[in-house]
Order: sequence, then structure tokens, then C-alpha cells
Amino acid sequence: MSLLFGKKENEVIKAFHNHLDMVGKVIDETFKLIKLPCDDNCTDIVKNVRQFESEADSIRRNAETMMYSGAFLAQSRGDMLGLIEAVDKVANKAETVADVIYLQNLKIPDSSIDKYIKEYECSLEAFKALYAAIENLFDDFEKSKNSVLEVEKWENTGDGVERNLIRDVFNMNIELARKMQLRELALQIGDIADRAEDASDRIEIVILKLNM
Amino acid sequence: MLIQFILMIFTATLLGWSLGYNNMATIFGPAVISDIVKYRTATIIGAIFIFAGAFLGGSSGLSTMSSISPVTFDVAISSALGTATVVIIMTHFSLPTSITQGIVGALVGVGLIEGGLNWWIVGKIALSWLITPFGAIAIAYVSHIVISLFYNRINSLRIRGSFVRLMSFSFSIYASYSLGANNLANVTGPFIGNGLFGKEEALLIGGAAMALGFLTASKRVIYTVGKGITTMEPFDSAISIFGAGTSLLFFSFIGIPISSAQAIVGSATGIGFVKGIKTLRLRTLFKIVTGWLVTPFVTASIAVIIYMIMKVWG
Repeated sequence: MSLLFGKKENEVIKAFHNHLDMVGKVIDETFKLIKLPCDDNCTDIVKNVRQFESEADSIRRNAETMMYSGAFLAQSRGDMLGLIEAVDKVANKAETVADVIYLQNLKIPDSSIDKYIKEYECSLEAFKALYAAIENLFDDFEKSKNSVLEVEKWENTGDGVERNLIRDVFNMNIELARKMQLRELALQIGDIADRAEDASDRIEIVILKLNM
Repeated sequence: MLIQFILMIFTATLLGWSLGYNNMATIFGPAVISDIVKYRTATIIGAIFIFAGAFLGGSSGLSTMSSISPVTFDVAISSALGTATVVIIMTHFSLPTSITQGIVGALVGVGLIEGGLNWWIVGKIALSWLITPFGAIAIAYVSHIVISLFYNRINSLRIRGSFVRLMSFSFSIYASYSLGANNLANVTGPFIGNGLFGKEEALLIGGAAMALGFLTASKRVIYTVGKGITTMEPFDSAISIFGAGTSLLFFSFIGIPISSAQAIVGSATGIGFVKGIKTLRLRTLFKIVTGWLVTPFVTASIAVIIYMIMKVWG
């Protein structure tokens, strides 16, 4: 009877929330690496990033197992699995950003730190909108549509910041190798918003199917 | 006399079992495939409700079936055995068949030889067969529009999921009950009267045989047959089952057994019309026409052969 009244769905929806919270922690922790100069604290922050990312992975795996054990109609299970995997990729990308800074011992020039922060904030806002979109998807998917548009808006804003940033980096009087490192960082930060947008595209498909 | 009784029970059970076995997947397939209900739970609940339908609502069709031609042991056995043979052969070769149309064809075939065929009843049944697919189309079409009005207002994925689950599960139960009520007459109708089965015996034996068919329906069959239906969304397939169940129940009230397969095909076509999809394909038409023409003709021929053999052997 629990199959009929959605007991398993509630558990999966809870796992979705926990997963989103953990992905949020990965993003917040990585942000610290951009805002602060990388010193001894860096190791601890990166350690936290890895731990949160790994916890997000394990929540995702649990949610997938629950889905395969009967949560959601079999026909919509694929969409839900695709969605949680897409959200997980946001965390993976944030971890990559942390790696780019930490493993390459990357120092962001003071003149461009604000722009990196701004770009990261755009990705963070895109993720927050994605969070709201997923939260609303289960309870009021009409509200989700607005959040999906919000993700797209922040992704576009981030793209603009990213392009300016790369142009500025290549106008700097620094070594080409460093320019390439800084360009990669800008691209990876932009990718966080791109991944959030990919996940929101999946939400859009789910909503379209529901309205058919 | 004992051999006659055993033969009657065997033939009725064979017909009832194959009816339940073949229809279990059609009725519960979408719910099982969508993981709304577990396979074993579906077979048990379906069996309970098909039996309940047969026992509580199956009596009205019995008199129709036993009025097609005068009931004798030879007529009943040759018709039922002829139908069972055709159904088993056609199911084995995956050819579309209908027990309802088979048994009526067989009774008419033997009735033509024996004499005393009730053409009024035959005409009434033939007319209902023509109406069934169109009636199911109309019921499914209207139901879909009406239920969608409510369903489309639900903006919560969580509530929608529970709604579809409950709808699919309860409509499958409803269709099981309707199938039992409508199709019982096919299983034991030919044996009613003239010192053969009594009404209560007919209800019990027929209901139990159909329930046995539901209980023994294999998971593989449910998945194979059910997949053909679940190309539709769970919401649509649930309404399609509701349309078929309502057609079956309506005709059971007026005492005319109809083909469950044609009710399902008609119902699915009705959903197709709402969705604007061209579901009425040549294959679908072939299924309907086979049910109307080929099945009664083939069962009539085989039943007549069995009847002649029984006459010759005395």
C-alpha cells in the first residue's frame, strides 16, 4: 500500500533535498578559495570540498537505489535519475574549480579578484535558482518554471562576466602560462552555471511532459 | 453421469482459466510495469475481484448464453471444447482471438445443425459486438476529458504520482470485477439448464476458473502483453482500462457478454483521439475484424466437427 501513497517518493524527495544541500556546501566551500588568498587554510578547505562532494555522491547513490526499488512511476524514474545526476555534476564542477586553484597553486591577481568573485556569484545564484526549481518541482511545478528561467538568466550573466574576464586576463602583463591558468579558472567557474542550466533543462522537460 | 460432470467442469475450467490468463496482463499490465503494484499482489487482488464480479454480477449473462440454442450436453461440450481448442491454438501462434466471439460462434454453428437457434438473441449479441469498440471509444474519450480537467489542476508532482497510482490500481480492480461479471457467461453459460449446471454452480465454477487464470498469469506474459499498452503514459493507460471496464460492466447489466480485447482496443483508440495520435492502425482493425469474423467462424467449424463426432459415437 505504501507504493500507492508515495512513501518511497517522500524518501527520495528528502534525499533530493539532502543532495542539494550537500552540493550547495561544495559550492560554498569552493567559493572560500576564490575569496581568500590560498594559504595553509587551503588544504582544510579543499579537504572539506572533497568530503562534501563525496557525501553528495553517496546521497545520490542512495536516492538512485530507492528509485530502482519502486519510487516514482517507472516511466518517470529515468527523468528523476537524470535530474539528480545532472545536479551531481554541478558539485563535480565546483570540486574541479577547487582543484584548479589548489593543485596548480593558482594566485588570482588582485586586479581581477572582484571579477572572479562576481563570476562565481553568478554561478552560485544559478545554483540557488536550480535549488528552488527542484524544491518546487515536487510541490508546485508551475513555480518551477520561473526558477528555471532564473537559472538561465544567471548563466547568461555569468557568460558575459566570463568573457570580459578572459579578455582582461589576456591584456595583463603576465606570463602566457599564468594567463592560460587564469583562463581555465574562469572557464571552470562558468561551467558551474552551465551544469546548473543543464539540470534545469531536465526540469523543463519533466514539466513539459507533465503538461502534455 | 460422473464422466459427463467431470468433462463439463474440465471444459468450463479450461475456458475460464484461459480467459483469466489472457486478460490479466491487459488489465493489470500497466500497473505492474509502472511498479504501482507488485506482480504477485496484482494476481491475488485481480483474482479476488474477477471472482467477485463473476459471482455477484455474472448471472444476467448466463441466460443470454444458454438461450442461443437449446442446451444439451453435446451442444454445450462441443461448443466449449471447440472454443477452448481454437483459443489455445490461436494464443500459441500469437493470433488475436476472443473467447466471447468464439463461444457464441460455436453455439451458433452447433445450433444451425441441431436447430432451434434463437436468432433474436444472436442478432442482439452481434449488434452489441458492433457497438462495443465505438462505445469504448466514446467512454474513454469522455472520461479522459473529464478526469483531465481535475488532473491538470494538480501542480504537485508528488500528488500527481499518488493520484495516478490510485487511479491505475482502482481502475484495474474495477475492470477485473467488470470482466468477471461480463465474461462469466462465456465460461459456464452454455452449460446452464437442462440438468447440467445450476446457476450457483455456474457462478462458482466460472468465477473460480477465471480467478485461477489470473493467479497463474506469468510475470513474463504480463510484461510482454503489458508493454504494448504502456507505450501510453500511466494516466492514459489507466483511463483506457477504465473505459474498457465500464463497457464490460454496462453490457453485463444488460446481460450481453462482449469481447474484453475489443473493449480495450476501442478504449485505447478513444485515448488516441484525445491525444491527437493516429492509433487506429491496420493492425488494430485486423484485430477487431478477426474477432468479429474469423474467430466465430473457426470455432463454429471445430465445434460442429466435435458435435458430429459425439453424435456418431453416441
